[in-house]
Order: sequence, then C-alpha cells, then structure tokens
Amino acid sequence: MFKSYLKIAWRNIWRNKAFSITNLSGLTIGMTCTMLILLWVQDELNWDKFHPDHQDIYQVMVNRDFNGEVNTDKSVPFPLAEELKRNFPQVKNATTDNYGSDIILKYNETIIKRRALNVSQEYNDVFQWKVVKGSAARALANPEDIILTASTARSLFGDADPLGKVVRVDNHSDYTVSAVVEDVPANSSIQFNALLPFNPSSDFVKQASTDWVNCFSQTFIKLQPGTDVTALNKQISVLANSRGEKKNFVYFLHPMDKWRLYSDFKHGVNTGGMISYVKLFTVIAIIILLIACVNFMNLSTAKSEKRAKEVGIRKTLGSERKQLLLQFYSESMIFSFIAFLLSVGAVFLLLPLFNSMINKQLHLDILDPLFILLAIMLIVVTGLVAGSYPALYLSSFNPVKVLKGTFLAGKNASIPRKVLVVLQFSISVLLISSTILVYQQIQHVKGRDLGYNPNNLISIPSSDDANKNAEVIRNELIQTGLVSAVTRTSSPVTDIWNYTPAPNWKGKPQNADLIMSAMRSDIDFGKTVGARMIQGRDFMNTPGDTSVMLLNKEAVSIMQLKDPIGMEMQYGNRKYTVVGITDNIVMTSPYAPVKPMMVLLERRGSAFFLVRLKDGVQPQQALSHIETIFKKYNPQYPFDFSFVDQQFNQKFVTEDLIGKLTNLFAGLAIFICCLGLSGLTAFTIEKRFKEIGIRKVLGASIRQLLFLISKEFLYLVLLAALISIPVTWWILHNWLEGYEYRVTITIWLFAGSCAGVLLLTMVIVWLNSLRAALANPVNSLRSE
Amino acid sequence: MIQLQHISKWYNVGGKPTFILKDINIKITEGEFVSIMGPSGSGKTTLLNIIGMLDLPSEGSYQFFDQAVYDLREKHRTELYKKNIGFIFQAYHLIDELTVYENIETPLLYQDVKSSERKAMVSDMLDKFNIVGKKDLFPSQLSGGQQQLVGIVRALIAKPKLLLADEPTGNLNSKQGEEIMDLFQKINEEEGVTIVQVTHSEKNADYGHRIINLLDGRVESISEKPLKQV
Ligand SMILES: Nc1ncnc2c1ncn2[C@@H]1O[C@H](COP(=O)(O)OP(=O)(O)OP(=O)(O)O)[C@@H](O)[C@H]1O
Ligand SMILES: [Mg+2]
Repeated sequence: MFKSYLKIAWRNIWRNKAFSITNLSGLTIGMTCTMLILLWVQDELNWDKFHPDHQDIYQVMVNRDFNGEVNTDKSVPFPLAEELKRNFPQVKNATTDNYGSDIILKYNETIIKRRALNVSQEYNDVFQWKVVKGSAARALANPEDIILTASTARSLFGDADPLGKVVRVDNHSDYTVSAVVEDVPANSSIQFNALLPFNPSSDFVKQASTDWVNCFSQTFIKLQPGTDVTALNKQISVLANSRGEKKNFVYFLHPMDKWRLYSDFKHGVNTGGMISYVKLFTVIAIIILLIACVNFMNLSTAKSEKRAKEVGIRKTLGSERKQLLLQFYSESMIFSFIAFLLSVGAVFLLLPLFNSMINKQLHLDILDPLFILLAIMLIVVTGLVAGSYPALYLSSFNPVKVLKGTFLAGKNASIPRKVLVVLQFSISVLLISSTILVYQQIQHVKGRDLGYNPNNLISIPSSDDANKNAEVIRNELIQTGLVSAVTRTSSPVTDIWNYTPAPNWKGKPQNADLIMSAMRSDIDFGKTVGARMIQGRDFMNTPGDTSVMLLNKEAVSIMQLKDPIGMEMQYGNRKYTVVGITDNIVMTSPYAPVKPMMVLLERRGSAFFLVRLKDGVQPQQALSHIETIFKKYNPQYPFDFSFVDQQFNQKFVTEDLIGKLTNLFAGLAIFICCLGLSGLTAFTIEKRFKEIGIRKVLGASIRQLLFLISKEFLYLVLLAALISIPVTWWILHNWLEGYEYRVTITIWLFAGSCAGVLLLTMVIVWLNSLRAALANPVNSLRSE
Repeated sequence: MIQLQHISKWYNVGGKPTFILKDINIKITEGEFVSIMGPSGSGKTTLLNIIGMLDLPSEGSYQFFDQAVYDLREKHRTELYKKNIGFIFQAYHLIDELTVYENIETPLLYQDVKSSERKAMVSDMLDKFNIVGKKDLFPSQLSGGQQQLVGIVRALIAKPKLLLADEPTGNLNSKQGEEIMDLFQKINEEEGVTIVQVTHSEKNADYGHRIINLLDGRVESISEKPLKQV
C-alpha cells in the first residue's frame, strides 16, 4: 500500500515538473534558511558552554546608585575575590582579571602583539581551559610564569617545545612559558592569547590589594553546586560594603550561562541583550518555514481540481478517508524529505559565505545525534504542516460529485487559499518594512553628529619610549606637511575607560553624587579630534597651561554651571581650571545620550597618540611617513595603528549583523512568497484559459485581460496591507524603544513597503498572464 | 439480494424540496441482470449511486443481503461495499497516473490483499481479458474501448457479487458497445455476478432480464423478460 503511495507521489512530482520545482525550491529555500538560522542560534546558545562547570561559574557585578541613576558595572574591588573565598564556604574558587590588554611578546627575533590577561593565580581553578602542554593548575604559581595559547606559542617558537622558553614582555620583563592551552574558542566570552599572573610583589598589586574604592579588575567565582545565589548576593553586598567607603552598593552574581545572551542592564535590572535577536531569528526561521509550507498548501490545493478525480475514483474503489489522508501526507513528506536533502547540500555550499558574512565559524555536523533528531523533526513537521490542508481538503471530496464531472471548487473552496495568500502578503509587508526601518535606523545613527570628526584621524598605541620622545615625534609628524595636529590621550576616543565622581566646585550642592567620565589628554585635544568648542579654548602649548580641564556640554548642564569658564575644580588633590567647553562627543554607544565628561590636561604619559591628517591627504601615503617616525623613536615596538572611524564603526557590529541577516532572510522569505504567488497565478490562469480565450474572441483587449486577472490579487494585497500595518507598526515601535537615539516611523515606510508588495505582485501576475492574454484564442478553445 | 423500500431523495432548491427520487421500491435477486432506463435527468445515476452506497437517500431503507445498510456505521458500510460491489463508469475513470496493471491492482490494495496474491489475481485477469500486452501502458495510451475494458477488469478484480455500470458504453461506438455488452452477459451467466446497468440504448437494455423505467424519479414501469437459454 505504502509503496503504491510512493509510486504515485513520485509520478506526480515527475509529471508536474513546473509545479514540483516551484514547490521544492520554496521548501528548500525555506529549510535552508531555517537550518542556517538554527546553526547561528545554536552557536549563540552554546557560548561558554565548553567549560564543564559552566553552571557553577559566576561573575561578581555591582549596581552603584548615583543620584538615582543606577550604574551596573563589572569592575569590583581587587581584594574582593580573596575575601569571598575566605569568608564563604559556598565559594569554591574566586579569581580576578584586568579585562586584558595588548602586549608585545618577543622571543629571539620574533616580535608579536597579542591580547593578554593579567589574572590572579586561581584563574585556572575557576575556568577550565584545555591544556595542551604542561599543567594548568600550577602554571601561574610564579610571578614570571606565562601561559600561551597554542597558536601564540606556534607563532613564537615554531615547532619547538614551548615549555620553559623565556619570552620578553613589553620589552621590560621576562616570563617563562609554564603551560600551553588550546586556542580559546570563538564562542567564549573571555578571550586571550596569553595569561600572566598579577605580580604580588609589585607596588601596583600591593596597593590594589587593600584598595576597596578604585576598581580596575573583574572577579569571577565558582560556587559549590546547589548554592543559594540570592542569599549569597546579600552576603557579598554586606561584606563588600563594610570595607572602603561604606557605600550602599548592590553586589550580585551574574551566571556564566547568561554572559552572552543576557548582557544588558538598565537601571540595575537585566534587560536581556543578544537573546532578543536569538528569539527574533528563531521566529523568523519559523515564519520562513511557514511561508514555504503555505506555498505548498496553496499550490497543492490549487492543483486539487486535477486530483479530485483521482480521489473520487479511489473512494469508489473502496479507499477510506484515512487511507487518502495517508497518501497525501506521504506525498508532502516526500517533498519535505527531498527538500531537506537539497537544503543540506545548500547549507554546505552556503556556509562559508554565511560564515564570512556573520563573522563566525559555524559548521554543520550531519552525524551529530542532535542534528539528526532536529532533521527528523524538521522533515516531519514540515511535511505535516505543508500536507495538512491539502490532505484534509482533498480527502474530503465527495466521489459522487467529483465523478459527475460537474465538480467545481466553487467560491468557498478558494477562501482558505486566499487567507493564506493574504497571510503571505502581510508577512511580506512586515518584512519589507522591517528591513527598511533597520536600515534607516542604522543610517540615522551612523549619520549622527558625533561632536568630533572621526575621519582621517589615526590612533597609535603609545609606549614608554614613545612617550619620552613625544615632543620630537609631534614635531617630525607636523614637519611631514601631511599632519595638522597631534595629541595623546589616556583612552581611545571611541570608548570611556574611566568613570569617576565629579570634582568639587564652589557652590556644588551638598549631596550631589555625580558620576562622570574622565580622560587625560595632551595639548591640542580639540584641534586633533576635531571637537567643536562651544566656549573657551583648547589646551595650549604654553608653559602656563597646566592644571586645566575641559568639560563637555552635558557636564555643564548636569553640574548646573552658569559661567563655567575659569571656574576652579577640585579633583583628587589637585585644582584644575576650566578653560573650555566642548560639544557633546559621542564616545560610547551611538544609540545612547552622551555622558558628562571632563578632559584633564596631561603632558607626560599617555596610552595613545592621535594624529589628525590634513584634509585631502591620502592615509596610506601619510602612514608610511608616520611609521618611519615611530620606528625611529619607538624601535622596540612593531608599528601599530587604527583609523578612528573604523574603530567607531565597530559599534555597529551587532546592528550591521542584524541588518545583514534581516536583509538576507527577509529577501529570501519574500522570494519564497513570490514563488508561491507565481505558481498560484499560473494555476488561476490555466483554469481560466478558456474564459480568457472566449473574452478575447468577444473583443477584450490585452490590457483588460491583464486587469481581469490581477484584480483578484489586488484586493488581496490591499487587505493584507490593512492587516499588517498595525501589527508591523507595533513590532517596529517596540524594537525602536530599545534605542534612545532613533528614527521615527513615518507613514511613508508603510506606503513604500505596501507599494513594493503591490508592484511585485503585479509584475508576477502580469508576467504569468501575458502568455495567456497573448495566446491565440483558437488554440485555447480547441483544446476543450 | 437488494431490497429498496420507499427510497426518496430530494434537494432543497429555493426553500422548496425538489424530488429526484420518489418512493422507489425495488427488489433484485442474486444473479439477475437489470437494466435501468429513462430520460435524462430522471434520476438513474442517483439511484445507481444509492445502490452502490456512494450516496445516501433522504428517506427509505436499503437491505443488502440480510444487512440493513443504513443501520451500519460508516466503516462497516465501506467494508460491505468494498467486498461486494464493483463500479463501472461512462467516463471510465481510470487513474491517469497509474498504469493499466496498477489501476487494476488498486481495489486489492484497499482490501489488504497480500502482494503475492495480488500479483496472481491481476495476472490472471489480464490473461483472461487478453490485455497482458497493455499492462504497462498508461490510460492516455489506450483507446476508449480498451480503457473501458480496463475499467471493467478493475471492477471485477475483487470478485464482487454486484456490478454497477453507469452508461458503460456511452462513450463508445456501437461495435465496442456490443463487445462490452457481450462481456457483461458472459460475466453474468458464467460467474453469476449480479449486474445493474444504466443505459440509454434499447438494444443494450435488452441484454438485461428486467428493465426498470424511471420517469421524474419514479419507477414508471418494469418489463420482465424470460431468462435466456444458455
Ligand atoms: N446537487 C443537486 N442539487 C439539486 N439537484 C440535483 C443535484 N444533483 C442532481 N440533481 C438533479 O437530480 C436529477 C437526477 O440526476 P441524475 O444524474 O440522477 O440523472 P440521470 O437520470 O442520471 O440523467 P442522465 O441520463 O443525463 O445521466 C437531475 O434533474 C439533476 O438536476
Ligand atoms: Mg446519469
């Protein structure tokens, strides 16, 4: 029996090639999208899961309340880790790191720059990096130990045994390789190429060990399984607040399993993060699959008049409805299965492309039991959903009516089909609108006035040597004639490294607990970064210009200063004079309002050189000069630089990715809709071929015929527009709520996307109907 | 074998019931060959479909052997029908996607006949009706007469006790029609299959032992004929 179903299914597929190809390509594209999305989702869900104890690992975080504005921070006091381990038996291990920085590793003549973490000795007791050589447990016992990742070790030592080799770090201290670990997986929240212990005998660490106020490090702990985390949170807060300045900060543990997907905090409360995109794309995957299934339903039922006769005959031959249902389901299953095989092939072909697009290393493991399970589910669910309506509809035919030959689907029969088409149109409108809006939002933010000019601005990491020679470097750079200004800063222009309580000034309100960002800069700060000065002046290269600071507009407003220029600010144990007010400079999130900022003049050490090129100078040409100069005065370091505009664009990585993914999947979803629509029109026209012929004989023009055919679809598009506009508005409105700096939704967005869908529909319908409209009526009438 | 009592069927057209069949009482014994005649629209097909259990009357009772058909549940009715009744149509109604062989085999599939047994039965029939050479062809590759022959073979494959034919020769020329009628007669006489056929042709109707004349949904007359000698 089943064999007979397969046979007839196969012959049906083969016989109606156009129909089968349309159906199969729809399902294949749908399944391919679904698989790609699910691979991405799976990768996102698997972040940090390679640590066997990931469920027991937590990051200690803190909510600090400044005048009602709660700031959630990862930086906690350095001594906290030790104290936690000492005081709480639930805490198996605790460790800290310094967020990492780039270091220069030198072995013989090989010099490389790599990302390193300074960590406390217990680092490998909390995290379980896979050890390739040596033993991780004792690898950080000595202050001169260094752990390298496999690829870093290979870059330095080639094939030689790295253990016991001595490398020079940042040109001043020697470390001995004590262990080699596997390269950190791409889906790890913590990334490094090298681990170095904090040196307990260094002044810096000695001082930090008792400092409960300034925080530069993050703390991770591993708990005993089954620990009551809520209770522990309270205990940690009590302990931490009892030291240092006795504040009322709220400490809490953020579990490793949430680091990747739930990383956003607002007002001290976790607001999700990447998880919303994971959910969004899971929904998109389902929608795309559903659209493909709807295509299948529509085309199969449209074709049903042809199969009605078969159903009738089978019923008179003794088939029960059950058996017919089984037959039609097995047919959709076959489609689903073939589509699945095709899409596995497609995924293999497309994965490299997809990976480079989303910057990941996804791969499909078809022998993975989880994959096999999901694959079976995908095939069965698709087959069932796609086959359900056709099977129920077809098997319900009354044989007497069907075989009488007078069987006509009638008006009502096509209603479900119309509902499905309207659904597809609605989804298309939603997808087109979303794509446009995501694009608009990204462009809007990219076009935001940043308060400075990131173009033609080069950032070069500094060093001790470079700082010593700063004056000469500056002069030689200016002398090239390609550079208009040079300054040095303590942190990049595209980030804020230091939040600090506001300075004191005369007339400061008693309990004003303001927090602001601080950075130190050399002279010509405003000139180099291109910051607009609203009031006052830039830092100047005059001997008298010491102990001065700049504020930004936001700082002036939040501090409620009426006449800030010339005011004295007490910060730490120094007094600074406010000499200038800059416009608000967007340094962190381009989606958020600018934070209050102060810039302090610092003429000695700094972390970065900023070089402003003259207008019209070719960066490549300038860079070769700049490199020569830095090589001369900073010979121990490989020359390294980045363009500030590119740094800034890094902030759009997520949105760009989301933009790309929505473009891709919306495009494909709409394409599947078009396929279905095209197939459906083809059927409508086939059915009306004779009618069209008769009308033509009666004198209808081609234009009238096209209108006749497209009228039906026109109504459906209009209906879809009515349904989808409010839904789309609601969804997009909610998405935009997440951004403080955002575009507004206009009526044109909907007008545009509806017009787009309408246009697309008309093109498809006309292309399909032109053949019928142009055909010689004699042929179409004779065929009856 | 068949006993129809007070069978009526009507449709509501514009709120008023329109009768298609009205108080039909017919008795058919096993081994009979009955022809149904009547003008177009008189209800012949409807009556045949009711006998064939494809359609239900609005009123009346139907006794098939000793079963009251309308007291049976759908499932049992299908069972009864599958085992006992074969259908032949004017428009042949072969499944276009299946070969001759597969078309003939289909009713057996629905009766859960084993594969080996099916093979034997189909080969046997193909042999008997001389269409072995055509078994791998599709319906579209056959002439009308050949298609109807396949239709008949298909109707007979499951050894039904009752064969229902709705204008089986309607689409055929007179020579082909005659061949089919001779075949019916043979089946009726040699295998004892009860046959009820609807026809417009007097000549074909004469093959039957009895002719039931319908007019406007009523039995107008029944003409009996003496059994032909073998
Ligand atoms: N669904 C229906 N609604 C109303 N009337 C119907 C319906 N189906 C059939 N009829 C009517 O029932 C009557 C009998 O139809 P039937 O097909 O049994 O006639 P027939 O005797 O087989 O005619 P023919 O010789 O043309 O095949 C016809 O008058 C037809 O109009
Ligand atoms: Mg009829």
